[in-house]
Amino acid sequence: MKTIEAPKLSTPGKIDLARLALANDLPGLSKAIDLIPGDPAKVNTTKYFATRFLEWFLDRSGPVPFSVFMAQGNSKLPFYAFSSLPGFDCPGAGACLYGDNEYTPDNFGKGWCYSFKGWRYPAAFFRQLQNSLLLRDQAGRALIASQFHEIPAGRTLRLYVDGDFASLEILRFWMDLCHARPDIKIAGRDGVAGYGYSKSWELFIELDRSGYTWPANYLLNVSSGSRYGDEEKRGVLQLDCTRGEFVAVPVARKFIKARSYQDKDKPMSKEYRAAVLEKLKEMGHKKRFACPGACGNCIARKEHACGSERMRGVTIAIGIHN
Amino acid sequence: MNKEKTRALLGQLIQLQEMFNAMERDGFSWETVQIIKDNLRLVIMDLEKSLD
Repeated sequence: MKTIEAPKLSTPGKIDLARLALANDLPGLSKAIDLIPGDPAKVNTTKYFATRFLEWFLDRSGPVPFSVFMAQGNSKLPFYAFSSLPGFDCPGAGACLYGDNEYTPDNFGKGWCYSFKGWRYPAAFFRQLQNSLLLRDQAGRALIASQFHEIPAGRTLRLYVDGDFASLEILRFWMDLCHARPDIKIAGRDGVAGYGYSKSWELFIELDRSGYTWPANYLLNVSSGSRYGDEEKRGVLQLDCTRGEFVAVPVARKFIKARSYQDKDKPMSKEYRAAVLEKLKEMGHKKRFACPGACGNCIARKEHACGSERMRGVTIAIGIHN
Repeated sequence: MNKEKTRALLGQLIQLQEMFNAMERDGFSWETVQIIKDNLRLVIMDLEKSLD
């Protein structure tokens, strides 16, 4: 006899679950978690993590079910990474979240944002949800700060891997923490220290207007896919904390197929970079640089273009196939 | 703690042991360490709760 397995919790299902939790809708959340198939005692399953998340969510008085920061990387010592919910915590998200559709709740998640793909690991989704909730109140932020201060000296923190600065309060919170730990190297999602990416441009502009002094260990790369227009982009590009733009430009499929975008030693890497630079020129960018893929050898002296003061005002681009 | 709960916890620990064995086979990664830590954290929380 053929056994029909109950459907797993899909990405739209996870989006609904996140909506319920962020709206503090406990009955709705309990019902949604109850409907998730599986054995709540079987480790490393959606049901297992969801059940434990709900137990914490009920009064949020106990210890958090997921560590706030996670270990990543391939070297002897790990990087630390912080993530919150993609989309929900991305006030500046545009096409990356909605695609070519209208920016309405119905079209949420229909863009090319690849953070949603990470939700196939159930713990990743529930950690993001937990962190989004923690960021939204003072007690939660105090808990994040306390765990941040436990990161060993001199380590690298990827901020954010998924999600973005969701509010002015949250942006200020992170920048204050960067000031407090100048020994911690802040990195983008690729792990290269010294800079991050964000689409929350209005928040950066607003914080700058308040006279805020930016920490030296955070350099902003203004990435594409934002909902904002040219005026906000000009504004954010003028900030002291901003290095410049990091954009994706369309290139021929052959470069994607040959993985020319991954490193200088990949087939057709030179031609790929020439195509990226040509596209940037067409788009009117005066100072241009084509990202060769692998970080750490893109410019001389083992510097990273995205984190280099020398690259201020230069538009860095990668190629994508539309 | 009753026998049923103890059995459930034992089952969880065996599953975690299997995850370590899988890493031994497939190679070390910090991502897998994190997954094991996530699960172990919850098992410890369950044990603490049952002792309270």
